[in-house]
Amino acid sequence: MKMTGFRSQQPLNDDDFAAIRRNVMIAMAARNERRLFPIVMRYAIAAAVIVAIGIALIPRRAATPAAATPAKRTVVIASAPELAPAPIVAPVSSQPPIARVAHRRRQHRAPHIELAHQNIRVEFRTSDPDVRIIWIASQTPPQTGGKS
Amino acid sequence: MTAEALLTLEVEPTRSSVTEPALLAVIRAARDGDERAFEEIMLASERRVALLAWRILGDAEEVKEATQETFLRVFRHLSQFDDQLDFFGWLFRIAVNVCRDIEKRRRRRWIFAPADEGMSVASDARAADDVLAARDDAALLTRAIDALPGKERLAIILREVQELTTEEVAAILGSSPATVRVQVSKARAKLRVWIEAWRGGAR
Repeated sequence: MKMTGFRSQQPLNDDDFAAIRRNVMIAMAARNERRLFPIVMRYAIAAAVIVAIGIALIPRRAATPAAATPAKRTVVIASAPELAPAPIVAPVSSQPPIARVAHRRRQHRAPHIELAHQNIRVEFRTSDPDVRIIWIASQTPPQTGGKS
Repeated sequence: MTAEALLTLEVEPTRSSVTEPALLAVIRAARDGDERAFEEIMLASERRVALLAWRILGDAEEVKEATQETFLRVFRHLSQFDDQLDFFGWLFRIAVNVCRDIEKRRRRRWIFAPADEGMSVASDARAADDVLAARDDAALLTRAIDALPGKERLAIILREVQELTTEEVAAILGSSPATVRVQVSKARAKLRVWIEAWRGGAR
């Protein structure tokens, strides 16, 4: 008998070793899953952040033209009454007042587009009944001007 | 051969200090995530790990636990294994650490176990061992080795029972070869005294 005889008999049998191998493989698979989970979560969080940013930005872009339109409208509408009372005499045009037309049309159509193509016609009467000053102003901003 | 003669037996260091190429290829495959390769590693080494754990722990259930935990640690740290080193040396180092952890836990269990229960179990085991020791040299040696202090016990198990070289034992225990030589020498002396005392008492 040698000193290697100290507990020289294998305490486990083949079934024990098979069970150990199975348990180790299961634990390895579980560990691999756990290792993958944070990676998947990282991508999921990144995707969620992108979607959230997208949702936050899209309504703002849609609202921008809607908010800008009343501002233009205000400018357009405001210009009509300013021009109208400026002359001493009242306008003699057969057309109804521009502001009213604009207001009425605004209810039915896109007012910005309609008002951009309208002209203001102001007729001034002088002391001479044969002399009249007619001023036609275009509503299109770059094409402002008049004709007498 | 008597138990005294066993203690003076010198073991020839025959183990290679590098991993065999075939095993190294399997280790590399396992490191790359091949589960089948890892299973091959287990098949090639599980019996040696279990026997080492059995010699250190002396309890079959704890041996199962130690073997399983050893291979789980191997799986976790396989990427850190240096190809230039002996795989079995690295594996035994992990196994010894696992066994140390289990022994620590066992000691804690004994500390917190009810005093009566612990004493009765110990006295029963001692009585059974006494019967065995009286008629069997191997059982006597087992009792003597189990009675050694932890570090000396591990040193003599690895050096004399597992037949590892002093350098390998030092690497496994994380100490110097000189320290291992001293520990083995002290362990032998204590075993000799212990066995002589036992034999003298038995007569």
